[in-house]
Amino acid sequence: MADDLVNITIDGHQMAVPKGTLLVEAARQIGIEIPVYCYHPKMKPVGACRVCLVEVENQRRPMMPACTTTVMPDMVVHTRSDNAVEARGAVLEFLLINHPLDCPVCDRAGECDLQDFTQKYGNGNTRFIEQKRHFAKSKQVGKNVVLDRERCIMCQRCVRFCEEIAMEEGLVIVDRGNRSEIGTFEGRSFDSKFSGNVIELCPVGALTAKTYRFESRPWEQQHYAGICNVSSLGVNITVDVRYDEVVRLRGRMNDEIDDGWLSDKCRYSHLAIHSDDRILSPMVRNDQGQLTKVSWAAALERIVQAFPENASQIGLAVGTRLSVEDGHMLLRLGRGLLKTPNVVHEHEAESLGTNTTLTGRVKGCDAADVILCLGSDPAKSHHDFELRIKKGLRNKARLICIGEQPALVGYADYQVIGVASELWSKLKKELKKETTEEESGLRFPKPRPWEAGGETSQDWDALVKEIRGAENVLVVVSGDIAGQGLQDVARDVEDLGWNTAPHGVIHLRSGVNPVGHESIGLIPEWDEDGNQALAKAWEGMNTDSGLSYAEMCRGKTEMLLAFGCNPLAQPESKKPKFLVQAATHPDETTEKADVVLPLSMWVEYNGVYISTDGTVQFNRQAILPLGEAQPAWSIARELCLRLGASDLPENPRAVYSEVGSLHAALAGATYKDFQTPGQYHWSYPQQADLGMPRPDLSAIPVKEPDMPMWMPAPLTGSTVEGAGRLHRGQTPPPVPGQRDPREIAKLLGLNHPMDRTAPPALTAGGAEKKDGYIPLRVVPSTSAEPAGPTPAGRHHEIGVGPRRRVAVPVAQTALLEASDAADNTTEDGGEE
Amino acid sequence: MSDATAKGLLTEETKTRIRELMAKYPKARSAILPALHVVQEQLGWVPEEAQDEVAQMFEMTPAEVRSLVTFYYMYHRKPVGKYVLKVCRSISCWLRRSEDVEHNLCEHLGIECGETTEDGMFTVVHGECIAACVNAPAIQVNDRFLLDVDPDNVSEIIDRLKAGDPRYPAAVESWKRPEESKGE
Repeated sequence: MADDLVNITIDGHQMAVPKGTLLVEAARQIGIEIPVYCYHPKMKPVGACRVCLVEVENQRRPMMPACTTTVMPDMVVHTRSDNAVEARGAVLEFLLINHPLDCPVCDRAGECDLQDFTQKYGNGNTRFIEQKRHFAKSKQVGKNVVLDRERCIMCQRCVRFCEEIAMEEGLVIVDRGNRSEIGTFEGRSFDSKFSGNVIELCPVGALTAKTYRFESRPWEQQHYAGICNVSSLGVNITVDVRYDEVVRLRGRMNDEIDDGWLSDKCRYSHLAIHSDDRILSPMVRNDQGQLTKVSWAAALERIVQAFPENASQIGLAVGTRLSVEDGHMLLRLGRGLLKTPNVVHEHEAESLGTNTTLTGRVKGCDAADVILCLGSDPAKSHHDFELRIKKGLRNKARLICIGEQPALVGYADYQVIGVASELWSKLKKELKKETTEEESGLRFPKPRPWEAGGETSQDWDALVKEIRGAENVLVVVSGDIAGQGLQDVARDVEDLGWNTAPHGVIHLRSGVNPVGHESIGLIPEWDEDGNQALAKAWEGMNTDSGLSYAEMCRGKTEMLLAFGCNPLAQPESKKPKFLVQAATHPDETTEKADVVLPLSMWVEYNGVYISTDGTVQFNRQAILPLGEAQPAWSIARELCLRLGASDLPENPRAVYSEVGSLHAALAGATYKDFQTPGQYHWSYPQQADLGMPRPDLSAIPVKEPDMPMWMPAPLTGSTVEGAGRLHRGQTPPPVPGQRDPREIAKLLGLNHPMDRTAPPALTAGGAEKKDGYIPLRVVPSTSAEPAGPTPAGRHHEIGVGPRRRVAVPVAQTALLEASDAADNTTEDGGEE
Repeated sequence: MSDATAKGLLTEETKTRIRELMAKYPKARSAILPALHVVQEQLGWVPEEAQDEVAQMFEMTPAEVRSLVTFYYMYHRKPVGKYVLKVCRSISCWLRRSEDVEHNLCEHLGIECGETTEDGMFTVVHGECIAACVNAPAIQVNDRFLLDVDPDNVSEIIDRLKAGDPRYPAAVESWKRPEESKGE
């Protein structure tokens, strides 16, 4: 254990970190910020931007890039020494040479790393007086991605994302040296399924989203932790809201599920929220067959009157975009009060049965030896899952595709095309056969299918051998198993022992929350054992087996209530006698529905969603419901009230507590389960309030610190608060922009980096310089006396290092002006 | 997609040569740069359609190949003349009037640096050090050196190239015996 740890000292803090840790990560662990642009924890370090330079003692080259340097035993690192501070400032000066002063119109301003680090560590001035490099502004490189080449600092995060993470054609660097720019193959558009990620990765405003350009400012927004409502993966998102309008969705790091990435399908799903065709008020079909707006009361009254005598003639179809709470209240309405057995969610046909709990996790891809995809294409239905599979492939996994899986062609080591169920039963038989053949110990690495010379094999024997040799098999069964004849697959994988660690099985469900709805009983069959408490609580509820969703769509019931689903789009569908639909947008069902109710979208109410691998997650309400829209749980509650129920839960929190108390699958669940904050996205450290816990410095042993103990710089990275802003009662510092900074530095008794002379001796009264450190917090001088030299003699005050402000007394201002006047006479002859 | 891509710009011979190159390295990808030179030998430049074909052969993305072609300036991204005159402008040549060489060449041919003559014979470009400093000023004509160029007599170069003298430029001789070219 101890062998795997390395002792290092960063800024006087001794710590032990695992071998191979990068310096930038080690510093991060104790809350010391090292600025980075090109480095990203999910991608290979390249050391392109150099802004992470730190000083390492006893090195031939004292300045080392922290993002590519791994810890070595007894390494002594300084991130705040004179050399480090100066190097960082110099790198920033270089990065800013060609960067336009676009901030006032730039979308990224306010959450821009270049802006923030320049404020924090920059020199506050530039020596570059030549012409900046110019490009035509805003070049559209993809359907949704707009590129401003002038703003680019060539960190290559986007390029590496396309190459390493998405592993597909994408952005590259075109040309060389100072003419470098980001581009695509001539004339081709960058239309990846994951193109939006590069916008998030961009540390500056070079890559922006077409949907977000000039729409909003970061400081006007509130950020809410949400869950993607497009696929059943439960991808974590941040919902950014400006004045009650969702302006964009971003990824939110959850290593268990999405690894921080977000597919475009989800990223732009917010556009539907404020689209013009949202259904925003209740409507009832009049005698002329036209939908007319009515009040909620009238619409609900119409529904209640239409309930047929025979309860089994009522069907309730629940869309899987709805939350667990929605499902629960609809179940109460259907089985509990209307006494109908027909309450199902729309994807119940895919269910593998309730007896088998699948153990696979999305994260299992990372460690799998073999990823076995059965049935139709997982990458087609679950875009975000494709990136996870690719991560597995990069690690060590072999991808075996059985069935029709065109999107993964080119990545599959083995692919057998045919009827999935037949192939599966053949494979199953062969795997069950006893085998005595010894695996040969030597395996020569073959090029993988996506590399030159690699190819997708269709060799059945090799495939079987590969699976036999694997210690960690992850089986991915696609959602539409019903159409693939794979219903028994759960039992089969159990037989093969693949449903226990380290193996795993994932059933990629269609829709968003089918697993959630199944665990609370929105299926035709009634699970006596699992739902005892429910039957007891809702006395007289109907516990018969009901109709399937497909049967309901075929008009088997007199009355159908469709909540957030579209039954008339199903094959062979037929309108029942009375059709009620609660919907967000008009579709085939709306055209024929007798009553249409406006339904809230997922960002408009709190709700719990269970992902395809069983992760229970909470989606926070971000905006108020638009128009007269109501969430499904609330509509169900209103109907329950009209049917004579009382003591109904009044908000999602109460509904969920009831779920926790009644359902075995979620026993004891409450909203308190979700108090653990989510992780913020690496690219937006400013918004860490979404939940990164602050590091606890007390846990780190410090042996006689050679500098005063300081509060850790919060991982918020760069709060711009304070920097360059005036507070009440403060004297504004003079703006030295037009004067020679060296003169000002001289007057202030500071050392400007352009002056290669020794720093002025420190006088008593100023803060002591200790071993080359700049203490992180310097209290600005409030006295009328000269501030004196600041520690370590760094140059002038604007935007220097860790936010300190030197008040310039009146006397010195006068001096400056005097020197200015003197300079004017010899201005031209001055420097050279 | 243009017709050219459908048919393929690269001849079988070029493709065979590229495949031979790919076989020489543990990772086929390592052969991409020489392969692009082979393409340039066939076509005179590296058009985008050809980049696409090379990308297919190497199972790289076309964008990656474009990135390479644009990074290395020795790949021509537009058609060039039969003779590409690369005038060195690094320090030794510069000190020995390479600027005049370039200027006089361009004036004589009636083109700007970087352009091609109308008859498609000559392209003048400037390049950095071609490692012929002892014989400065030097010009690289396609893949051969022309050393100790007389800036005031560039027309002779053009005439001899136009005449199609097969031994010209035969600069390698002069390169081996720098002492002979000392007299100035």
